[in-house]
Amino acid sequence: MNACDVGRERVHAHFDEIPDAPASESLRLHLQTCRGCRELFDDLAILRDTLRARPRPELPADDLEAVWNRTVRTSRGGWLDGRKRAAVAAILVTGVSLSTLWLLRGPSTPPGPTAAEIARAEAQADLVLSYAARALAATRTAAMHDVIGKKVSPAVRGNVPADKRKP
Amino acid sequence: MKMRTVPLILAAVALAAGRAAAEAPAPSAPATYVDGSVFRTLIDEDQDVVEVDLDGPTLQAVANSKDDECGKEVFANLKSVHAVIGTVKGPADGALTLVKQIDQKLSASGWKRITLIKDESDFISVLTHLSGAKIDGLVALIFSMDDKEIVFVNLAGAIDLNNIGQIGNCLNVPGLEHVPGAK
Repeated sequence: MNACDVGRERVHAHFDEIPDAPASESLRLHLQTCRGCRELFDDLAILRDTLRARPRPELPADDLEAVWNRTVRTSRGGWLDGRKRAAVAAILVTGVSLSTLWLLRGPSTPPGPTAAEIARAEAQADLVLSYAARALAATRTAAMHDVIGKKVSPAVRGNVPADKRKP
Repeated sequence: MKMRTVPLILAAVALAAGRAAAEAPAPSAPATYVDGSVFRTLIDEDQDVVEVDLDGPTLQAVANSKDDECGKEVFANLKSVHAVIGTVKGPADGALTLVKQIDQKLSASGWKRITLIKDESDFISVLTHLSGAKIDGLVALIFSMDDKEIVFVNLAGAIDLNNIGQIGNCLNVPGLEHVPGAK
């Protein structure tokens, strides 16, 4: 950025921020040595003065009301503008989804079986084990008597006492 | 964002959460669980049928209700107890064929048959599944040709044959204390 670029920025800043204030010392020094910036300064001063010299008709009442409604009343009258509304909605969505996940997947304590269910389950378990035990008992009986020796697996036959085996 | 879209989003989120929960993996069955539903199709519904599916908290509650002599330890170590007991509705030969097929299939898939008894009236097969040196599964297949009674039993979990005698005493099944493998 050269000295002229800096000078132009100072010129614009002078008219944008404090247009009626005198130019700063550094700006005046630059304008004395830079013709381009001086012309810019003069043009902007003419533009400012021309605009100030123009008559200022009053804004029609309807237009003023419309502008008022779309600016001041909208921002103050509505309790939420678009961005705030979106933020609230996002927070709600996040909260509800987290709550839902917690309810569905979180640790829960399912109710245990009732006394009647336990009694029924116990009877069923006893029945099942009695059948399993009966099958194993049949194994023993068959092995001891060696009635079907060749049909019993060698592992079972290995448990038959020697004096009970067939010669 | 329009406010009326918020309920739609909430509904979508709730639906997605519900679906995620529904798709969550269910508690897996024990490795030595054997599906006995095929036997259910053989059974005559007009006669007595017993179908047992015990696992989880119910089985734990059964274990807690037992005293030491009646197999508390046995039940405490079991993960599931499944059984199908009933009377075959069709010809006995067809059921016997199916029982033999299941027996052979189990035997070919890592189960060790410790008992196979076949005669004119009965078919009894007991298979165990070993995890290392310990039994972690048992299947008993019993079929009586005379009364066409079929029994399928599957126990999953640590099984100690030495405790079988204790259960037999409790359940009044004589001779269990002499079962091979039991001391």
